[in-house]
Order: sequence, then C-alpha cells, then structure tokens
Amino acid sequence: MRHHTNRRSAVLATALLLAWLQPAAAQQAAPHFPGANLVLAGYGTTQYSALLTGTGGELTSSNNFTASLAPILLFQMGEDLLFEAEMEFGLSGEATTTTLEYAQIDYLGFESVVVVGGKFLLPFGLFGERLHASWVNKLPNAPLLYGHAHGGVAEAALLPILADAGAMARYSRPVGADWGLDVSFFVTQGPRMVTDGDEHVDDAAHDLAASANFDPEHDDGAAAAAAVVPAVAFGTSFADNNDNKMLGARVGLVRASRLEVYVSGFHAMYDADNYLDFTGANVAAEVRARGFELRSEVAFLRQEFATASEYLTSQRGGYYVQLSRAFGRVEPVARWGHLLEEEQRGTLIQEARQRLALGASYWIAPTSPLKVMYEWDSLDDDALVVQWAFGF
Amino acid sequence: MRNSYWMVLIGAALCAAPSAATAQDPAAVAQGAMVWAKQCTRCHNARASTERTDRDWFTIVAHMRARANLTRSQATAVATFLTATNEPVAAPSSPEKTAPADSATAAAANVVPPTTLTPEQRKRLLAYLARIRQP
Repeated sequence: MRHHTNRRSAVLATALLLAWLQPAAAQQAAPHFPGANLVLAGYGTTQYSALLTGTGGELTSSNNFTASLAPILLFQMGEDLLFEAEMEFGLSGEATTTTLEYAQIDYLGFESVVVVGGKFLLPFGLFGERLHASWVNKLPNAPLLYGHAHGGVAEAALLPILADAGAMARYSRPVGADWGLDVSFFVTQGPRMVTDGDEHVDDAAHDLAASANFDPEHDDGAAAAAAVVPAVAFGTSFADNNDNKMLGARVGLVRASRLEVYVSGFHAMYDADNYLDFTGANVAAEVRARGFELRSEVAFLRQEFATASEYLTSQRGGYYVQLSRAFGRVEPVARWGHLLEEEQRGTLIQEARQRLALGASYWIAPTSPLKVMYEWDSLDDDALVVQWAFGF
Repeated sequence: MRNSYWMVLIGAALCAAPSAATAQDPAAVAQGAMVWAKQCTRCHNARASTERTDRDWFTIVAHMRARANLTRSQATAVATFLTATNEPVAAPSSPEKTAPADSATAAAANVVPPTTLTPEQRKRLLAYLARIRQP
C-alpha cells in the first residue's frame, strides 16, 4: 500500500511540476497580435517625361515634371480583421486627381480562405492587382494592356487597373512542398457604360449606343462600319446602373518563386437595360530562373454594343512580355506590348499598336528604384522618362 | 480520491503539452524564413525587417496575406521570422571583437535545409540576413 502511494505521489508531483513550467513556455508561444494597430504605408513618385517626335527625336513641347502619392492605411482589429485603403493623388493638367483605389475589410480567421468586402483590386491577370505600385513596377508606366484608372476608364489601353465594389473570397492551398493553388471568386457592381454627365463622355459613342432599342425597319448599315464602341468605366460609382452583378474568378498554380500561371475571367452586363454583355479573359505567367524574370499577360475583351439598327460585337485583345535581370543594384528591363487591331465588317475600327520599352532601375534601396526608360510607340511619339519611386 | 488523482494528472498533462512554435524557436524562425524566401520576393524586393516594429509587421503581413494568397499558417510563419529578426545586432566595441551572435538570425541561416531552397533563393536569404544584422 505504501509502495503504490509513493509511486502515485511521484507521478502527481511530476505532472504538477510540468503544469507549473507551462506558463513560462507560454510566454514564448507563437507570436500573438495584441489589440488594434494602425499602420501608414504606401508609395509615391517624382517623374520627368518627355515626348520626342520626328526622325531626329526632337523634343516636343510635352516635357513635364510630375509627382504622385498613394498612401495606404492599414487598420488591424485583433488577429482576424483588417481594414485597408489606398488613395492616389496625382497631377493631371492643371488639376490634382484623387482616386480611391481600394477600401476593403478582410476577414482572416480561416486557415485557407480570406473573405473581402468593399472596393478592391480585382484578381484579373497580375499587373493590376499586384505589380502596379510604383516601387514594384520595374518601369515608369504600365504595360500596354493597362492604362491607369483615372475615373475607371482605360486611357489608350485595353483596360484600366481594375477595381470595383463587391465581395471576394480567396482560397489558397499548398500542394506538396513547393506548389500552391490559388482560387479567387468575386462578385461586384460591374462596368457601366459611360454616358452624358460622365467625365469621359464620347458624344459619338453616346449617340450611337445610348439606346439599346432595336429598330429592324431602320436601314442604317453605314453606321455599322463607323460604329464606335462605347466606353465603359469600372468602379467609378457605388450606385449600380443595373441589377446585374459582375462575376469573375482567377485560378493560379504557383511553384515557389520559380513559376506562376494564372487564368482569369469575368462577365457582366454593362448597360442600364441589361442587354449588353461585357466579357474578359486573361492568361498570365511569370517564370524566374538564373536571375532572370519573365512576365507576360494575354487579355481578350468581348463587348456587345448597339447601333440604331442592330447589335454588334467588339472583340479586342493584346499582350505584353517583360524581361528583367538584376546585376547588383542595376536591373535592366525590356517590355514589349501589342494591342491587336479591331475590325467591324471588314472595316478597320482600331489600328494595331505596338510599344517597346527599354529601361533600367537603379535600386537606391530595396523599395526605392530610380528608373530610366526609352519607349517607342507605333501610334505615338517616342518617350523618355526618368522616375524616382519610393515605397514606405 | 482515485478520480480526482486522474483528473489532476490529465489536466497537468494537457497543460504541459508543448506549443507547436515559439517566437524564439529557431525551427519556427527557419520555417518563416523559408516561406519568406519562397513567397515574399515573388513580386517585390524584400525590405529590412528592422524597418518596422513587431506590431507593424503583424499588420503588414496581414495586408500581404490576401495579396499573395498565403494561408494563415504561412502568414504566421512570415510574421514569426520578421519579428524575430527586427532587432539590430549591436556594433562591436572594437575591431578585434566580433558582434554578439544573434541566435534567431544565426539559427535561421544555419537551420534552413539546403534541399528545399534553390541556390538563388538561399543566396538571397543569406544576403538579406547579413544585411539586417548590420546596425
């Protein structure tokens, strides 16, 4: 009896000793985020750009200094809730432009899923969502596929940087030691036809396409040849112009930091009467090997529009390829962009456009490159750009 | 009496279960370093962890988690690495003395298994660790 009592006491004492030691070990537990925290981050640029014209590359009157600032506010409430917002301030002509790039709430409580609500950058391709920040982008401007979103309308490009209001779920899952699967779904307000009263109104487009009423007795064949595809804007209003929502998704396969392949797409109706489709598709890839980095995206858009007598479809697309390699602090970059020509019934509506950019970044700091670029454009003057970008 | 004894024993055993990862656990820091090397430099250069406090890194990593499509575990691992390496190492008082060893940083550099990182990734990681150790 005494033997059993002694052994039992020893076991109990050992267990109590281990329990007493646990509080000390708990002080070294996995990092724990306490309470709430506000962080100011962001990026900005100062830039000189010059357009050069003629065979001698003469300087035109368009040579400018400009600057921009994009502050990012991050407000974390506990471990699972983050509010993040980015504004962009820039100079355009004689005005200061202000854009709300995104303002979203992220729920981070799940292991493999992040739920997002608000206005956010759309997971369509890669450049718009991940690579457009000035200290991340290796050249001073966006690839030919993307114009920056001033009022949500693409300027001389296929698409703006896509951002819209809605909800999104992002799923990620490691596959084996090196691979990962990313799937993102989103539902948002969708694009809207640009009409009277909007900043980028196109009178000809408005006259031809403002009405979606079909009149089969009206012979207006000539209008089809001269049809102007109406402009569409993304994320410019928190009031949806119709009861249709844009649905989209992106699926990605990632192998550590060597290879990434993404396929993305979206579909929406963009007119007030829910007659006209707007569909987009994108394939993006990044490859890294031996210090080289190769990025490429191919995108296609299909947009229905109406003339006074019939419905037509605009199909346009393009791609870009970018190659870079760092040699210490210096990183040469080459980018080729191509927008395909667009025809309607054998009539050329939009010429093809090519753009070659050669440049280099000198990394003053890991988040601060000094970039120099010379760009040849098949439809515009050549450009020389020097930009200092900084991230903070 | 017998039931109470077993309840105390089981409760103590549960309390004594070791944590899966600790802030100063070299293996956890090394795991975070691997995730950082594979994921965080896909899009942009790495910034020195000494730029931000622990609280700020938690918030910034949360912001990046959604962008980079990281799991919660991956994000926690990266935060572990950044918060363990954001204390600058003190400068040596004389050229003859070497800087005191930073156990977390040294552990991350030595424990990283060579077979799971490419030579380029390992070189980049070690250069980053050497840079952030400078005062």
